[in-house]
Amino acid sequence: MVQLHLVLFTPQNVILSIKHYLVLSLQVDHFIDPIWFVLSHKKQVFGEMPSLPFHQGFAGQSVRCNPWIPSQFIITAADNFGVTGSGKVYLVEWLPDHPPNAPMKVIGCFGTSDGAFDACFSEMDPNIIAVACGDGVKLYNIQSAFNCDGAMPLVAPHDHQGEVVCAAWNQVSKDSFYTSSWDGTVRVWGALQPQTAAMVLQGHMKEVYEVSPAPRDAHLLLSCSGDGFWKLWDVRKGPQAVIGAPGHNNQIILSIDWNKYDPNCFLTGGVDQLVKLWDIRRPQQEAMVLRGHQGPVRRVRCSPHARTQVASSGYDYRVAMWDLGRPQRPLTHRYEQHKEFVVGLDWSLIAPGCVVSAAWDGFAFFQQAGLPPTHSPPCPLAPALPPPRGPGNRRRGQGGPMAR
Amino acid sequence: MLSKRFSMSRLSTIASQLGISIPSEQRAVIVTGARTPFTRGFGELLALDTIDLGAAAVKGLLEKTKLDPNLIDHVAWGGVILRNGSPNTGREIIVDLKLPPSISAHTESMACISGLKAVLSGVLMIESGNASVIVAGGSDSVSCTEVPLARDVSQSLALYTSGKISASKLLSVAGLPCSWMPQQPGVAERSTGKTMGYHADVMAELCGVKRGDQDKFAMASHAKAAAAISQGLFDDEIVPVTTKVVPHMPSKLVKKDTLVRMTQDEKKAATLKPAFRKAEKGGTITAASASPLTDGGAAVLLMSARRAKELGYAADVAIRSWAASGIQPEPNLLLAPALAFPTALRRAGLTLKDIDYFEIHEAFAGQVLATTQCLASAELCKKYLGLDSAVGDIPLDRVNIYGGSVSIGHPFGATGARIVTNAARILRNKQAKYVLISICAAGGLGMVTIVERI
Repeated sequence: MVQLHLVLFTPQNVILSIKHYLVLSLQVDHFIDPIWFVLSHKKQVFGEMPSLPFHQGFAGQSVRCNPWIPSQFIITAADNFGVTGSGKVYLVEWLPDHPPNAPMKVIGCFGTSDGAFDACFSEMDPNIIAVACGDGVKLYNIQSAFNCDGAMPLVAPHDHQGEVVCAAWNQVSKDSFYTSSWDGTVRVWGALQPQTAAMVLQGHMKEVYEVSPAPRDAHLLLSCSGDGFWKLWDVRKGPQAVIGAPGHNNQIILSIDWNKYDPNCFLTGGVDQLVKLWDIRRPQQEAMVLRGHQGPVRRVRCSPHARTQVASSGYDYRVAMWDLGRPQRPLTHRYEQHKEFVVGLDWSLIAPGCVVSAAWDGFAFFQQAGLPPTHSPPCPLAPALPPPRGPGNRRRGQGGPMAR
Repeated sequence: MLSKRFSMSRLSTIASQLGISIPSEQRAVIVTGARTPFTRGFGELLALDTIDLGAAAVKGLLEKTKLDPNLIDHVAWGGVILRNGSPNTGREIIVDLKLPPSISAHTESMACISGLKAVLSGVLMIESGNASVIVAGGSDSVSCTEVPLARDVSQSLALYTSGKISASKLLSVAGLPCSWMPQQPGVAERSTGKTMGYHADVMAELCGVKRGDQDKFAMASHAKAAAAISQGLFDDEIVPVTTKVVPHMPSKLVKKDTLVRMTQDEKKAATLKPAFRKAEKGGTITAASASPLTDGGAAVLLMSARRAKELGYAADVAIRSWAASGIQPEPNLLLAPALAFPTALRRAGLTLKDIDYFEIHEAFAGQVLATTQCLASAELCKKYLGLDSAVGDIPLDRVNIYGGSVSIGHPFGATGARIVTNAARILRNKQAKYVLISICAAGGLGMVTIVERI
């Protein structure tokens, strides 16, 4: 305590702590006891939450925590906001005790021939990642791909007829992964035979934005789509959805994620600016509605550490954290550090309460509840040039929902 | 160029994520509709041509809604048999009714889809911000069809009267005057020379539609329309019309539809001979299972949602999506709408199961059943529509629940507007969410529109 007080009263730290207190006060909607603030945030009050700038012109698309090494995050980005151009995949390491004013540690990065919209680690091999790209899904070996120009995928099947925007691995059986695409389908891939899809799940009428495998059931997965529906699939029952319902006032549902603790509950985020909690046993009516975003909600994520803690990000440039256990005032934190659409978001598996966000402003922020993210010094990045676009990397979109 | 197209495609998808669509207040809503009674051609409304019928429908609409005509931005009209010399029926309606001359108008023709297409044109004008209040509709009078002279005769007469050819040349080209009598045109497909009925008959055979099913469907259409009339469902829609005095008929007040049979005779229907192909050649469509040649007009009031709310009108029905289609006239001329079903559903983000009710224009009972059977059959969809799988089942108890063109009648340009008004009625009466409209047309055209209650 004496040491804390001595530290507190240095001029720099007084200013810093006042600044952080004021920022936190703006982020939350209740009075914060200053003493409580100092005692509970004493480590972070004097620290900063770092950021990673991407290659010039690249917009952040997704963030996922590495299940093998929870201090690492795989982040994807796309040139020209994903409209045209190539992509980048970054593997970044971050720990809560990251030194202030130090650049982020980038383990490696490589380029893709089209925009990289999502990436996930294989649950069978720590060196394999699946990347969802504008020209199809691709599997890479990160050992050979990272920091090499023109990195070529191990496998690049072209089953999808539109942009692939989500890749997610089955965490239970570990032997399959899923992709969703703007061609309106979800595809199931065998990890050992990824050359062609094992099953095509059809039922959505427009682009499918996200697919989320169940955290405790190897056969179930959820998807959400531009047709305004979310759907539950059981791969044992064939390519038709088990349940489906319109979720967000017939508007596009942009993100979906299972609750990691309750196998019946999941979260959706939509163009109607709402985050909704659902129970699959009552598909016709949402269990809870979270209001607070002022633009379409682009990503929702349930915390791996707390049943009632969820995070969301959106086109209002904000990242929000919510406590579902406080139905009267669920919004707990709101960040406005990004200057563009916040498209990527995920929780840290190693640091409770920490989220990583990636946005179209060209930055990823690594942030913890209650603290303002700040810009870290840029770190040197390998050029990570993409491979040339060729027949194996042909452009997608010819038969997709937009090709009417 | 290729990458630019795909870039624009991605840009469009991203834009849709931003909810960049028609602001809800700008959305066009279907307020209500009105129409004249529908009567058989050369029947009670013989004296009124398409302009008269259209004017009667629009006048009735304005009286019903008590709308200040000064608020109307445009009249969008549909028709098939247009007056020679005054083909813009919409504008003539404005003139005849002495509506504000500042109201613009246009008339379009898409065969039997004309009235629906006029409504959609009105919707487009409103939702693009170019209008707030539009009267849309259509009308047609087979009784007042202007029968043309043969081209040789008319051209020769024109050249002769302008002094460019001699009388002997006129007679040598055009023939003797006794041969100049014009022939009443048939309702035929220009490219094939065959009547609509012939094509529908062939289509019914190819899709396996039986004679008995067609008769049953036609009788059901009459029964449903009769029930709707008995319940007074059309009372607020039909506008009484006083006809003019003409040599063939005195002036009379026509207050209701005259084609609906209030009672059915199943045995008599079974004895009717096929009308378009002999029975031994596979003919199944009879006069009873075909829509009759009809005179009538129908009008629909469209507004932006904002204007409707400002003026205190209903703003709860709107167009969700539509799709047009075309098909080779031979052999399934009237099957074209089936091609538009998947597109309209996809654009609406719906499946067939989401549709509560269907309004399928009954050009012929056999054509409706051929359409539903084709959509439900993977084999027929693949064979005739080039689709990989069946589109889905349409339960007949949800088709045309207040009757259809076979019973009520089919003035070519008015049917689309009548059906739109009926779709709105169904949505409001039944508190349904979606009604799907399907209309086939000459030329191998189809239009499917999904109307929703918002």
